Amino acid sequence: VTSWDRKLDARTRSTLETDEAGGPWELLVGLTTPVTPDQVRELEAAGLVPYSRAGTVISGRVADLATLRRVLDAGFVRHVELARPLHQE
Amino acid sequence: MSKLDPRLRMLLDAAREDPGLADATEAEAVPLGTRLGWGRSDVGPVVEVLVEGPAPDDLERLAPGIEYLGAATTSSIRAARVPVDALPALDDSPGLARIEAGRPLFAELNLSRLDSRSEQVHTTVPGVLGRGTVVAVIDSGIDYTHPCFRRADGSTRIERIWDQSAPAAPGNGVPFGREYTTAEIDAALRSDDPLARVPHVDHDPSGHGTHVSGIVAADERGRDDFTGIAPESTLLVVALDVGPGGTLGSSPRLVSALDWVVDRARGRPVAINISQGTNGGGHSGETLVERRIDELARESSVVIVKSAGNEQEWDTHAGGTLAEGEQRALTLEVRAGNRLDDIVEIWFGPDDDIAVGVQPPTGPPSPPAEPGASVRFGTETGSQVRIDVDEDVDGTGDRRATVILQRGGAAQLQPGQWRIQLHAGHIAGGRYDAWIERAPRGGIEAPEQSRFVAGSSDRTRTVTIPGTARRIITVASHVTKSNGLPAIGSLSTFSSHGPTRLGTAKPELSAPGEFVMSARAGGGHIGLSGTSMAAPHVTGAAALLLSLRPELHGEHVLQILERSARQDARVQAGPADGWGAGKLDIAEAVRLTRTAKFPVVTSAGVAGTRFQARTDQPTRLELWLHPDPSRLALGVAEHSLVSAGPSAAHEVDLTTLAPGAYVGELRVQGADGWWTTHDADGRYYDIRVAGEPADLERIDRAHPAAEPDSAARERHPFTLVALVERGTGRLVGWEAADSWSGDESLAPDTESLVSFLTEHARAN
Repeated sequence: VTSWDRKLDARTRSTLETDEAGGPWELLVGLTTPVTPDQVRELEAAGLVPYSRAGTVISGRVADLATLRRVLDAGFVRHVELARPLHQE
Repeated sequence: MSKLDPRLRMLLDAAREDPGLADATEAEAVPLGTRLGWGRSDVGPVVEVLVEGPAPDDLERLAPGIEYLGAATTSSIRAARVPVDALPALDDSPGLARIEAGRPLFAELNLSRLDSRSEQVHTTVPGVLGRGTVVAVIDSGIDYTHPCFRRADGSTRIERIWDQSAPAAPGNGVPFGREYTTAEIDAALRSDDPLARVPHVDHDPSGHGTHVSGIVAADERGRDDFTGIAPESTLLVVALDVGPGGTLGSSPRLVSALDWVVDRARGRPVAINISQGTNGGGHSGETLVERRIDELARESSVVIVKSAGNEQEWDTHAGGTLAEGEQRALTLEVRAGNRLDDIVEIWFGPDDDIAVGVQPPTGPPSPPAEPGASVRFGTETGSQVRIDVDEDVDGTGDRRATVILQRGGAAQLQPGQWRIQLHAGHIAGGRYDAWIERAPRGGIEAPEQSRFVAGSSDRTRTVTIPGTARRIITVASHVTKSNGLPAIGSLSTFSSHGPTRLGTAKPELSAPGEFVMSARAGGGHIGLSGTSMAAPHVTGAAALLLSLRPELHGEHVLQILERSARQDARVQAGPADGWGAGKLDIAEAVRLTRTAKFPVVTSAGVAGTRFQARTDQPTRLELWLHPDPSRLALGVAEHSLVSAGPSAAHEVDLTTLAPGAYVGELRVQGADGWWTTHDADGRYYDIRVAGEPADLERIDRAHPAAEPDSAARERHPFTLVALVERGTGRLVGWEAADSWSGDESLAPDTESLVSFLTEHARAN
């Protein structure tokens, strides 16, 4: 188990292992504190394509595993969830 | 018991007794003919029905010649015209739950408006109709050409549509998809071919988003009977992707939609409707989508409403309490034909040592996975099993076992009864809750949806995520139209029950949700059922309240809706975990909104060993405290200190607390019971109580750069100070500072913490 594994839930770890395409993935990034412009720039430099950029949760897309690892390496990133489908009720 | 309703049984009896009836062309010649939508087609006599049941393929096999009314829906309830001679085959089908005869379209949304008591406030002078508010529907899109979303002059009431699956337009202002403005929609509506200019249609075959939008905000005053709850509000619409089996969007796209809505509302009061959900997560607000919802809903003028879910009869939850040393099996049935992965999450407390194993239908069991470990194994039929037991999940302190069943190289997941084995070691609380992830479903007998069997299933805690967020208003469904079962006025049998995993009451209240008539994509109206239809009644109600008091917070609107909810005999008969506070009563809610005086915290903070706060009226104050902000964010307090009041100036003695670091949140309550929470703009109050607890040990470490290949970390070696329990070494709190700058606002990554603890463990 690596340091970045610890920021992922089990279903995300499983997806990363079994997704033969190797990305891209849409995801939610949970932060320790509300995101700052500098942090957004750091995540964009890591390869994250942000969809939203407010509060402690930002949504976005990464192209591949290497990009995801760079996002996870950021000290202010607490954990990451890959997209989960929702269902009409 | 027949699945045909009494009208259809009567029709079949009449057809048997009078063979000539099959040739009748006039509906009046057939018993109840006009009411049953009797007609003739190439396959003979047909009737209009609502069918709750199987996948479209099965339905077409059972009733050759079936004709869907509108388009086939992805939900389990379909409107169709079926041959009369196919009714017995449908009745005998094990995949069908019920078949209801078509009804003339009386004013059913009008009926639900009457039940919700919005008629009274619509017709007063001046009426309360939502003017000045924005309602946002995040769903499958909208038929923007429908007259109910247009003004008398034909212009649109829709301010913007974000179609998330439309081809991107560069510079369009959204990160993907396409945003359409009022000007673009109006230009389209003035043209001969609107869809050529704004090529947006409701993505759902049944028009789910259009229907939901109609309940919230349709305006048919003077034209038709299906006016919604807030007919003078302005609409923002987000069209999510629609996939097979009722899939509607995803968690990242929902978060992006929520942020887009609040941005486009630009400070105006906004009520947001979410009528979709899922089962994965801890069911107390832990998921990231729920965390973002709670951040947005704590702002003034933002109210977020969610359907409770339709999971009540799907047996997707198991729960109970384990004793030390006990072993328990949770049995789930995997049906033949399931080609999808099954994911089961089992949540338990931070101090409960529970190992988790899996016994497949045949062959040997897996070894158990201990907390912190991961186990994988293959069954003798090729199915693959992965078990991960994570600790301190999402910063909540809790533990979660995730069991993932995959078919591997086989054609399907191994069918049969799988047992998830729980092996309890040391137990502090012992409560466990397990949820099977929601699968795309083709119908009531969908093989894709595995279920817990009787004895394991527990029909509590079935509210879907994100409905367990702390500040979202979650809505159950009750019956305002029925053919006998369930009775009018009763709770819908499908409507999900609370509470949350941590015991918070959910859903908050109930609204009409069965066969509600509303706008139909493509024109006209259609009846649909589900908590999806209940939630928009409350979203519309929230818009009405915000039109009177735009400054209100979501928690204020929630209190008004709960206090005003109607408690009739059926509500009082329970269950409270299904009904919440009772049935939506908009007239009473409007009355309370005009008079409610919510207290305001004018100042608050720590002064020495006391916490001081002032309010604008005499109040009772509670200071909720927890060492972990992630826990407090879920509404969990380890300590609650009270200043009973009533007073406008409060002081709370902090020396009664054990030494340590806490975060705090206030709740102040006025004499009339209205309350307000205050959390320092989401940052919480930082409260430190001096002294070293006798049972805790303070450890200081300078932590070097952990990974030579990580440039970011090399820049920030940390000094870590931790409090651990003497003897066990359990971490109970920590602080960090940048070793070079002393900056305490920087947080160490998990690697650094783990390394620190490992070092500590070796030292001990």
